[in-house]
Amino acid sequence: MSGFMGHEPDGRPGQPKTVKEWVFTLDHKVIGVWYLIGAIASFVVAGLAASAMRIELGSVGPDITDNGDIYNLWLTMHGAVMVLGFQIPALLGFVANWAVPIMVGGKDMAFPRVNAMSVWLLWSGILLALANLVIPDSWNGMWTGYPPYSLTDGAGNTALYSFIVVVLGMSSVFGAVNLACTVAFMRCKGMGWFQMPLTVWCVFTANVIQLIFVPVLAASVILLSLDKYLGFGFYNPEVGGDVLLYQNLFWFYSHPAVYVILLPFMGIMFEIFAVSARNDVFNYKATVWSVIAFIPVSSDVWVHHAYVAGLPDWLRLLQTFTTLLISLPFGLLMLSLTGTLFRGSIRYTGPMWWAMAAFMMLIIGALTGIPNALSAVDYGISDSYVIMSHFHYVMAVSGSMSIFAGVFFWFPKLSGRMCNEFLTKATAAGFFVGMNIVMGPLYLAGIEGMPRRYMDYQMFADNATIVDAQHWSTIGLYITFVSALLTIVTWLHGAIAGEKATSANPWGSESLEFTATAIIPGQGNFPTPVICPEGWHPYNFIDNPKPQFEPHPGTSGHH
Amino acid sequence: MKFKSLMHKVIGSLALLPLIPSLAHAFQAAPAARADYNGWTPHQHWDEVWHETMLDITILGVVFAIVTFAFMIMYRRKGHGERGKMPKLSAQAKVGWVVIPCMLFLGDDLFLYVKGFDLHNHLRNVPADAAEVKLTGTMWNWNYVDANGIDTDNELVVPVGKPVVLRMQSEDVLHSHYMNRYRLTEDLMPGRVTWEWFMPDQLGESVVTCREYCGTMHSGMYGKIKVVTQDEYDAYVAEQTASVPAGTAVASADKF
Amino acid sequence: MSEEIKHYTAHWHTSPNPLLVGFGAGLFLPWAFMLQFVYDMQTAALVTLAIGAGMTIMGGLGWAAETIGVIDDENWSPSAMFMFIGTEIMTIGGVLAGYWVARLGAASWPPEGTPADVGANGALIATLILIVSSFTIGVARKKELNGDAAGFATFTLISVAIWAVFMYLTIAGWSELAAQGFTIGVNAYATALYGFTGIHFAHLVMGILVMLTCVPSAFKGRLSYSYTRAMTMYVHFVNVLGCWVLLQIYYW
Ligand code: HEA
Ligand code: HEA
Ligand code: CUA
Ligand SMILES: [Cu+2]
Repeated sequence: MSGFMGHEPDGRPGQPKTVKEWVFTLDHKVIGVWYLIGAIASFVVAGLAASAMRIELGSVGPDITDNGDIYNLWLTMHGAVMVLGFQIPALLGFVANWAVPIMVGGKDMAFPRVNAMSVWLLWSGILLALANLVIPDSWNGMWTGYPPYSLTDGAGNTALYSFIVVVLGMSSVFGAVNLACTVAFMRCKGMGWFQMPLTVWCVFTANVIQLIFVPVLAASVILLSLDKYLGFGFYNPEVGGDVLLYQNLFWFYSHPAVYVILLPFMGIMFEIFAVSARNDVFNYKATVWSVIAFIPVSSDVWVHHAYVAGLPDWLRLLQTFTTLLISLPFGLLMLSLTGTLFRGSIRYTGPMWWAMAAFMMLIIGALTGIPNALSAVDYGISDSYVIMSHFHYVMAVSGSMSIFAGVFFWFPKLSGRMCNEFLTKATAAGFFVGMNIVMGPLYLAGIEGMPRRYMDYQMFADNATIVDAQHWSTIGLYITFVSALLTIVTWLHGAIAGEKATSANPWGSESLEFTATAIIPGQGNFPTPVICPEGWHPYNFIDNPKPQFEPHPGTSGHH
Repeated sequence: MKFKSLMHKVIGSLALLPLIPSLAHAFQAAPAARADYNGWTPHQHWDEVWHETMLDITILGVVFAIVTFAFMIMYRRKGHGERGKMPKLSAQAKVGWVVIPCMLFLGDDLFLYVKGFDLHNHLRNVPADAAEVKLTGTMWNWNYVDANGIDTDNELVVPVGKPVVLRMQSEDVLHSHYMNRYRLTEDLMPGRVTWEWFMPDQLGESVVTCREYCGTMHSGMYGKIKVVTQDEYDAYVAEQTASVPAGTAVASADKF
Repeated sequence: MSEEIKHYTAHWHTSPNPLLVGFGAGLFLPWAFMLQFVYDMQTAALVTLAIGAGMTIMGGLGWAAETIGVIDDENWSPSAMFMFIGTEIMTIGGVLAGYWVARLGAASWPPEGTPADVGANGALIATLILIVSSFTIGVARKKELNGDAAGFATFTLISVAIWAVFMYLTIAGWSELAAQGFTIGVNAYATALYGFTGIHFAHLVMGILVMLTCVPSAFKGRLSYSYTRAMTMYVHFVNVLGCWVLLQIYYW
């Protein structure tokens, strides 16, 4: 019937028509699309970097480069752009901007201009990051940017790194303030806190985490540039500074950051699971509280990234414990996800294929966090492929698959068209199988001792496990590459030539973005403000009252 | 709920949060505590805890996956109009479904924590008779100086059966000394001395790599630990100390 | 419903200003810094700085003209400002943590190379002057609530002037210290002193811009209550920050 942007009365799609309407837009839907484009472009760039790395690592000795700096540049770009340019913008940009205001029945974000500024800050950050591929003296200090290395000339343009992080951080902070106000103040009439879809809860909580922790990250990288270019000495032991300060500040943010990524993508899973199974989310309120519990629990575990960095022993032991505690709220979330299928009525749509695969990968990825969490065990695997495999399962694979699931899920609303169902499912399967072949063997290589960030591993040339694992992993990459490429083709095909969506609610959701659809294009989401009637709940699939609309002001007085 | 005032309180209390990371610095890394060697080789202990943990998470993962697969197959949609039939939870059930799983998870956490704690203490208490070796990392080289003043690059020779403790410092950027056979990693940095100890229990060579990113040739920063018999070691010491002028060796060993 | 919709034509709000600010501050200003400090290309740096600052300021002014007193922003600005201040506190807390590390870990404090007089008295006087602006901005707010747009603008400008005096005193203090050879990288104390007063200085610049955005529309008689509420919150915050810096750096 109609895409979210609606259709003109004569049936033309209701997207902005002029360049001006696209570029100078203040509308959250259009801004959301800009976020999505930025995120997917980042995924492509960072994915190509991953492909180059994997090809290089496929066998012992130089394959496509023998220059450590080039490999390090790829790896730096891959890590930084995947995390900062792809996943955070896709989740806290696209999902937060495009979906959340509609899901809470609001007419836009609370501050549309701030919202527009945030997206252009994001694009500034992406452009800065891309510049790294072409400038002389490019930054190769990894996404973590540890000093003292980052203060040496060898690391390249440290200022660029600081600015990428600070600009994206500003984008995130303004976005987070905006979203928190939107969720707090712009929910439609009748929607209480415990009637919000879990996606909204997860995005909201992730944004609170952003508000608390991003600034610390910004501070830590600003100090880097002050040290390197203006002669300050925060991290310089010679003038009384401390190299470890950086790691503490950096992980104080960057550990919570993994939950900033995790929560929204689990939110998408909840949405798709509930809708596909036409079932209430298991123990909804407890689930919400588990989500909120991530805020305090995640704030005191950052030392698990620095178990081997020479911090005091008591601190390692203390934060081993706090890290293990995360398994409680996390376990409850997983329980709720599985529970949502219980006595459900599951329909295996394309998005559901992606979400199910993502859930399977999440089980592996999350549980492999546990050995790392034990400080003493971590001494044996820190900075090895064991860690690398852990976070690719949980963040890279589960995260990307959930994000893509979300794109497929909301696609009919974005474009008014459907993606080819066979291709949707085939690419899900391909990505799932491919990434298992990439990351599974690498876990074994890690156990054998393969360290991270190595362009070559001649010291392990006679270790068959490592050599074979690297070989198979590269074969897995080819499968993943084809699947990722086909995924993008599927979207493009769907957007341009896909079948027109015949229903405003193709998956049978109860959430407002599907049920209270505007059929008018342009600013504002609903013809008149929405009202959630009493007893309305986004996961009530049995006897949910229909959302209503306030009478049109035009018919009853003035505006 | 009056959200605005609650939010304001929550955000106001943020002011205290920056205190948290600074706590980490109230104390510098503790000096190595010495203890009697308890006869258990630490890397065997490590393997033990590792297998235990892997078994644990495998069971958890398999249970989760099986239940999920079962649900996926059992609850496929049969008819077009069919809806999920999630039973309504009673108030007790709602609480129970939080408390009981949490207790189980917590129990398992504590179980693992205790295992890890034990291992941690084992790895972090240096046996009283451990031989001291000074290790200096530079881009991209490992320099070992042992108690005899033997100064080697990227190769450490030790006698079998005697524990060794490395006192480590970096001259430039962060490095991380990982001994593959001994399952141990610890960073080196300028401005602080860190340490790790291991038990060379078997003759032969094993790989040492750098595990903290340190620039262009990070992956070229590797070496080996060679474990020899006591006789071979004595011969090695005699040969090395004869060829190295005593003065320079002591001077470089004094650096710390 | 369908009656209205039939006559509906798509209508999208647009404004170039957020884009100008976003790219100006997010893309051009960073490049100006990098051209200057990393690539040593002064002229290019200056040009980029001019473009970036121009875009940001033009965008900011245009933004203010579009919104202040024109759009009723439904009173969320103060809450948003409150959150923003919360994150600011975290930023500064991060830097403070660094300072505490250096300070508590140091063998003696202040470290060697610190002049006997770091200008504590001057800083005290300057901060006392600074505090006055909290009162003047309060008066401005009162005037605004009484609907006195011109009075509001006047007192806002007085606050700006007070801040300018403080900024002048700060710069004077810096140059005095620098003249004694106490420059940024001398020791950990110098790092902290220039770091914190510099951070505060940057906030003053921001705050002045925020205050100034209210003035043109006020002279036209247009007021935005919630925006100015947020503005005064920021002014108070920067003043409190000034006191913090004074206590942490000069009187601890
Ligand atoms: C989305 C991202 C994400 C998520 C969710 C996680 C989740 C977890 N991670 Fe991971 N992690 C990363 C992304 C993520 N991580 C990244 C990017 C890095 C590397 C950064 C770098 O260095 O570049 C990293 C690195 C990393 C390290 C550092 C290792 C090192 O460098 O030496 C550690 C150590 O503790 C760790 C632990 C954990 C733990 C304990 C969890 C927990 O949250 C997992 C908890 C979940 C479960 C346990 C499963 C569900 C629970 C149950 C089924 C209940 C029952 C279970 C038990 C009782 C055990 N991770
Ligand atoms: C969200 C984050 C994310 C994602 C999605 C990924 C995805 C992938 N990652 Fe990455 N990775 C990280 C985050 C992520 N990674 C981080 C943080 C690090 C650590 C960095 C560090 O150490 O500092 C890392 C490190 C890392 C390494 C370690 C290298 C080393 O330590 O030496 C490897 C090696 O195999 C790897 C591989 C891959 C692969 C094969 C994928 C695949 O999933 C990628 C799939 C995508 C594609 C194959 C692209 C498809 C391309 C197209 C569709 C283009 C089509 C063409 C046109 C349109 C022109 N990653
Ligand atoms: Cu030394 Cu990496
Ligand atoms: Cu972490």
